Amino acid sequence: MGIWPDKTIRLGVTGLSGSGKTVFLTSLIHQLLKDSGTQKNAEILLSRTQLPFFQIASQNRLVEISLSDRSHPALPPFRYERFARSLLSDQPEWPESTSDISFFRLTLLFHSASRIKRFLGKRRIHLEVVDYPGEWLLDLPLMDQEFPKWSHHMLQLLEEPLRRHRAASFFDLLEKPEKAEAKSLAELFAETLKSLKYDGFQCIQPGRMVLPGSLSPEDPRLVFAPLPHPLQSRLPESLYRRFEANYRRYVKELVRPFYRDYLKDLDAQIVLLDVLQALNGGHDTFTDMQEALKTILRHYRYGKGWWNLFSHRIEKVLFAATKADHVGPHQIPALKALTEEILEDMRPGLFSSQTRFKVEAVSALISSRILCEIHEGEKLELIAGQPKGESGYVAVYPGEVPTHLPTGKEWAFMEQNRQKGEGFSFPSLKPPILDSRLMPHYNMDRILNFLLEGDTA
Amino acid sequence: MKIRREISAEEWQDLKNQIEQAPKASPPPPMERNPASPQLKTSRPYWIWLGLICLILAFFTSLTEEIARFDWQRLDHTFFLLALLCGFLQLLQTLYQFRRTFRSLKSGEGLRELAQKAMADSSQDTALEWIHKASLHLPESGLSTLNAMRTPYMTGSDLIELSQREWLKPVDQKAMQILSQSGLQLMLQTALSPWFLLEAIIFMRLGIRTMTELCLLYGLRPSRTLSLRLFISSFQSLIYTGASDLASDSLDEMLGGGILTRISQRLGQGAFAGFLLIRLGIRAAEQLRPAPEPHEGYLRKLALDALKQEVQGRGLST
Repeated sequence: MGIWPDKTIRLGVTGLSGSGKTVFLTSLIHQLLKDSGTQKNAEILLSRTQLPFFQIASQNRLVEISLSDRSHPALPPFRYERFARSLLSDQPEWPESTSDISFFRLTLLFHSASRIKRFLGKRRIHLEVVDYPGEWLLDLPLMDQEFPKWSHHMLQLLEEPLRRHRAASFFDLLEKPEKAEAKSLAELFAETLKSLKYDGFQCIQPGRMVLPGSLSPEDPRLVFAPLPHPLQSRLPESLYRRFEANYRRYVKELVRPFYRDYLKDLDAQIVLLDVLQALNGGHDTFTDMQEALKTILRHYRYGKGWWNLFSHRIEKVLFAATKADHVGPHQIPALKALTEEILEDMRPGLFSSQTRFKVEAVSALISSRILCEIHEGEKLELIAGQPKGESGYVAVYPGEVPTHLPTGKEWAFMEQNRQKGEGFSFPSLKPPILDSRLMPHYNMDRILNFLLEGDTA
Repeated sequence: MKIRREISAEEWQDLKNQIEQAPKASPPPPMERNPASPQLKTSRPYWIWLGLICLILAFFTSLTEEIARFDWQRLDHTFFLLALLCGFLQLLQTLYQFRRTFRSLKSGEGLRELAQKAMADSSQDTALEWIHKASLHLPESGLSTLNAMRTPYMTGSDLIELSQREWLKPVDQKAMQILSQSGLQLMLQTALSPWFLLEAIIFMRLGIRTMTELCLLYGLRPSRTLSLRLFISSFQSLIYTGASDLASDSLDEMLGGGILTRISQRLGQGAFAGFLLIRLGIRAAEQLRPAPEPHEGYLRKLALDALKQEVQGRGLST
């Protein structure tokens, strides 16, 4: 070993529920390690074709990579073997949604590019990642809100036309103070949130009511729901005060420690966006995703400079449009352009000019294949694969990905098309059976490169 | 437009191999290498055409006079006519080469433009078209590496970036190695040459040989046209060398040789000539590459690396 001190990069993988965080992290480890716990020189040389844009691999500078999932004193290990097995089995399945927090550390030993630095020895980088349910991120805004403000905001949100029907029974119970008990109200509210999540809505608070992790559903900190102020309703004030106290405990004992311990001191961040699914959902789902992201990202601190000595900040952020294999390669530039526009839309006031940004379209595990066909004189790229819930294979032309954020008129036009059955519909595919036991990917190497760029020179 | 149709298990199995097995690029059809030679990036020699036209006119004018006085019985007249005929045929061949050379230059520019277009609009089709066309010139070894790394999802810019690194870079490195070897050789031979004339001959001989090797490396056959163009281009360099020779002589006179005799004048001139040759070679390589440089100063850096390795005696094995 040389004179170089080890460097640790704390990576935050931020993504809303269903954006593919677990598959992304499983693939990230798999691309480097395949099935072994530690990989050495010879095998790394072979992975050069698997990761063509990962510089230290393509320049044959990687010496050793190892995975250590038991190096955190408090957090359970990330279940890489289990997830990889589920994806590479003969009957592959997507890993189940993340329900609790977990941790892993990837260690890369490599030679420097510069001959002088190489003379001084090998260098080591630790990449530390904490995986957690995406729903928990949506709790971050609660840190800035008191119970009355949060209640007002949530009740307003639930009254919106598309959400109202899901929240009907909750509102009915609020109208009947004689029947409104704390537990039943909280349970009904949790049910409402779960059904909204099922519909694809992202702004769901509090996240632990949907995915409690290691918390028991009976935990008193989960017994609360948004309530109108006692002066404006017939609900007993004692109920309001109880909910307010529980809300405070929830924020103080669960949300703040989660933020302080795992999200505050990150060095790099990858934001995963399932843009295609949001487009499938239409205008409301798309704007809901944008709003949810803005809300979450506001709580991270970005920038680079001398002030990093006093407060830790994220120096580089990568926005990854996931599931890029659900469109043909000709549409990938459009997907990237649309993601860039989403980023530009939220950039003002959020990121400092010194934060390094990159946008990539990515597929952690390619589950489709491309079939080129001529239709009405036009060459089209059909997406072939096995849709979720179906036993056969289909080839689908999902429609065109817009290259910019659609305007109001464009959304209306797309909605009309959808009602006629002509709008875009990006498929949800099952993972394929992989004879090679290697996960084919798109751009995972570029992501690794972005994360380690500058530290591996 | 929305399309959805069922596909059979066999069709799916065929599609599955798209990614799991290393994709194979369609091999280029058998075709002879481009016989035309490349051109160096210098101003177009319109004056050559003017000179050639004047020569042709003079030739025909004198020829008519000669024919009038021609005597078939005299052997010297017959040989003279045969010599004239050979010269005329040579002239025709040169004109033909010029035409082919300019066509080749245009197609080379077209390839570079195609690569730029593939980068700009990320079109996979454009990049594949570029790969197909470039594969007619460049070595196949790099193409197989590129094919092993290629996936159906790569966009045009991904493919060009990968081609630049896996396919063109080894060729560029080899080219810069040849160039640095020639540069060093020229430096030493110039240092040892006692006369300016010999130095000029060395420069031209090495220059033409280096350019020929570069052309062959990038898959183009050199021709006399190239040599002629090189001759014109190298004149400029020779003027510099000659001027530096004169300047050092006059300095020698002025300073009494006190300082200059202590340093090797000839070695200095040799280094100057060597660097000029490398500079000329880099310009030629820029024109010979089927894609623009990945970034500013890319070939310069490769040349410098190759030169460092040559000086340290660690040159790539040839």
